[in-house]
Amino acid sequence: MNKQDFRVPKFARFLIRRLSDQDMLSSIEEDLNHRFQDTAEVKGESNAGIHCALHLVSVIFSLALESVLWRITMLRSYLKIAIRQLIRQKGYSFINVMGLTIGMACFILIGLWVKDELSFDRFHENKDRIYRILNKMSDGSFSPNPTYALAPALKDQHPDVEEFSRVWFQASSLVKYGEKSFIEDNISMADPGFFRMFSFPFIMGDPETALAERDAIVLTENAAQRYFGNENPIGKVLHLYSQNADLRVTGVIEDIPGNSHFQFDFMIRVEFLGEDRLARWEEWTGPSYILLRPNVSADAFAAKIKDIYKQHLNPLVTYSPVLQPLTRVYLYQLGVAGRVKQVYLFSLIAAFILLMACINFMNLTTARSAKRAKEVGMRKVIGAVRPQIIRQYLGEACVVAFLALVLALALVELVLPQFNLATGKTLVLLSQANFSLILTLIMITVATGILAGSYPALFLSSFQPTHTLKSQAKVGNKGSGIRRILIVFQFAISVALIVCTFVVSQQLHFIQTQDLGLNRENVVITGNNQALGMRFDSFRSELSSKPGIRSVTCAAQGPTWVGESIQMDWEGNPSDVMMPIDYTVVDFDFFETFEMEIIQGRGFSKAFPTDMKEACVISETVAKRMGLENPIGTSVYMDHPAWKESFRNARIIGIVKDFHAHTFHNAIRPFVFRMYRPWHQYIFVKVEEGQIPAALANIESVFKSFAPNYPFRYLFYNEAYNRQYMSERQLGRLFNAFALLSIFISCLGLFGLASYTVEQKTKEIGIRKVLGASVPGILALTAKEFIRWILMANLFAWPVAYFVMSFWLQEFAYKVALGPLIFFIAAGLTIFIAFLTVSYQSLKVALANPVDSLRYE
Amino acid sequence: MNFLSRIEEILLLAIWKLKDNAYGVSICEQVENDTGTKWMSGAIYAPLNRLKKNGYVKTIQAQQSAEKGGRPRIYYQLTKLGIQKLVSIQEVNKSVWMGVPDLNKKIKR
Repeated sequence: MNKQDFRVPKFARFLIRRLSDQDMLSSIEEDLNHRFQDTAEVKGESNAGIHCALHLVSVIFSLALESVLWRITMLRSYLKIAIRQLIRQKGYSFINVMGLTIGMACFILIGLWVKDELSFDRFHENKDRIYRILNKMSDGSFSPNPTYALAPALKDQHPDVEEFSRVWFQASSLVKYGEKSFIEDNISMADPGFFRMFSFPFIMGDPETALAERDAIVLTENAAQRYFGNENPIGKVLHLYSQNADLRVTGVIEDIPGNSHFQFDFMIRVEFLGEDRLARWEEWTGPSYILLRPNVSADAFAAKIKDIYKQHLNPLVTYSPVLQPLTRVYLYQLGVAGRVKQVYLFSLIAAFILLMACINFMNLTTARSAKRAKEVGMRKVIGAVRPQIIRQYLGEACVVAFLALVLALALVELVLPQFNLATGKTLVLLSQANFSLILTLIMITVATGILAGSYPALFLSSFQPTHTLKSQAKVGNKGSGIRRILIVFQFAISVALIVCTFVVSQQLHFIQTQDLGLNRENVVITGNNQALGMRFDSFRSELSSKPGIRSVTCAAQGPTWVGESIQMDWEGNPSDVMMPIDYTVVDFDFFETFEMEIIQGRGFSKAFPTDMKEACVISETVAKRMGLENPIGTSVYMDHPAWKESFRNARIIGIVKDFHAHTFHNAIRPFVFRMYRPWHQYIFVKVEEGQIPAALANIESVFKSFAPNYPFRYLFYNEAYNRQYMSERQLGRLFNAFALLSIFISCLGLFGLASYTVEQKTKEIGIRKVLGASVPGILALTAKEFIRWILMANLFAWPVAYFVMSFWLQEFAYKVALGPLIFFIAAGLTIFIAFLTVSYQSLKVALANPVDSLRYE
Repeated sequence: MNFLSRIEEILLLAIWKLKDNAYGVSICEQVENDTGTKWMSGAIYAPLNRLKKNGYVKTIQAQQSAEKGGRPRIYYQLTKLGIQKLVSIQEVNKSVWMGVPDLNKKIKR
């Protein structure tokens, strides 16, 4: 017997039991199980699941239809009345339906987004057996870049490992085929096992052998189209300038789906990084993935390989390899919760916004229903019994809820392109994969309808007809306590969202304006290449002489996105331990270009040709940690595994002021600069403010004269800097939108309730006016109550918002303080908006002639 | 007289044929065998539910042996009313088809 059973969801069981009985449920369950196992043998378990789900739905549907069929006639009457009610009270219906529509639309959008985030890398067939290797440090943090020597060694020594692949992301190169040449940024490198482990569907070629040869290259459909058009790409030869290699196309794969954390256009062999680099145990090279054999436990395997570094390096090594399941790679990029935090945050917000919309809907439905007490009385007199009245109200509420659902789906379809643009995704609403989401939504809609309708249904149906048919029946104030609590709750959510919005935008502003220790304005980035690199000095001098150019330099990375770490020792180091230090390699004039301040000594200079070989510039923090009185001239040793032993020794020539070499998420760490021309990938040109177009033209013409083969592309440093905070900026934008929406929804609710309250008080206000009350006095009378509730909402919201935002800010080493001002502004804002909403209604009544409001009907 | 729908008739007959072995899965299989087509579960269980409500069939719980999962299985049986119904259906069918020759042969010729 198969181990796996088809489990019927609780909700479905409940439905079946309600629609028929327990015996029927047992039969059906047994039947479905039987079907599941039959199908599972032939088509696999997931297909069987879908198959059985369909059968289940058909059962529920048929049973439901059966039980409703005889009520259809009544149903039509209910529907008619629901529609008449909607039309008669256009204003309320509009508010009611619109609030719910917007809430649902928000929920669907975020739901789609969250679903997409959670679906990353799940399309690989072997997803449950693929693991990424992380290095676990002694302090509990992780590094995703273990040595490239590790994965092959694991495969050699352990039969548990079926396949391995090291992956080097995103090299860029000029690629040429015949007359066509393009700069390609998405060239990845991997081992032959890559396409055997991961399921990237091949259009042409064989995944088993695609990367078997050293000169193999696999490209995506899109890239193949670019070079070969309608030709058959297999066997054609592409020339890669960066590797100076002719590569033969051995496969074409479908374009990589958006929900893959690998994104590449070209895949070549990882050996292009250099054989010595792949074999070095000391170097932390890049991501490595292994495929375990079926039924091998990852934990047991990780325990086996725990000491592998100690065996290969030395027994003092403090870090060890750990395994991370493929499906967690994207959400836990660095081994710890990263993107998944945003997923949680947004799911929470989506749930809250939907909740707010539902509360609104309930509030308004409840408040309005009091007006219909007479209708209920009439129905009862004519012979309706209580269950019928209950059903009628529930049905009505459900109809309106479904109307909102349909509108929400339409709205989502409408704004989805914009949403995709803002989040950088390609989501679609109407696809098979979203079936469950829409099903959930339908259930929520029904639940909302039933919840919203239940109070009036149960409450109104209990009236004695004689009581309600008397003209002065007072029924409206019952249940106002619940309504108030709900209003407070709603506004509490709004206030919390407003506070969050303020904090996020403040932090973004802080990131934009904070002094980085360097000037990134008017710096143009362009790519270095072999043709330029060989004659870089003449390129620099020619470009510098042109108008609009202030200085020219190049470097391995921009100074705000450096991320490589080595260890440094120095003459007179009092301890045995070397200092962990970040480094990058830069050319002459680097500090001038970024206006970084040299506080002692000097920067790299053409006047000292030896700078290329033996000079280094340290940051302020390093100088402080070294504890020397005058570090200039001290000789240091950097244990960079890729450098020749002779090049590892250097002399300090200057100290640069501290700067933010990483995003604001990280504290400033020790930093050292060296010169090493083979690695200088980017050219940075500082241009004169106001002469930018001319300067750009000059850069292009000089670039073209030195490297005619290479297309000229450029980017302003500011844009590159902003891209580093992409996820924060997205968060900011989304928070703005959500805060606005939530305020809007709660104001709709408030508006509806206020108008209802005021309407009830029409006579009271009339009498007050007759007795001499002023308009402002009456305004205050009605507004006072609401404002009290909103103040209370603020008190609830503040601690929550404070907690959530402190949690978010924890990710930043440099952050804004959470002052009380933000909270007061949020409070003021909500009170102001609420006051406007309420007073519009009360003003209308307050200005009315008391004669009209007191008239006996 | 109160007629049954065709599927109800087929179901009653299936249960009659299966005698003591009529439970969810076997009924479905019998119906599929008799009619030669696949049926969605909904098309079986909803009419079955109706038959039960109208008192033509009844259910009996029988304890299963442990190897089959130990859960009680629900068996279906015709009630007296159900058998009477089948008898009357047969009569009606006979009289409706009375005097009609084998149509298949006729058309072929």
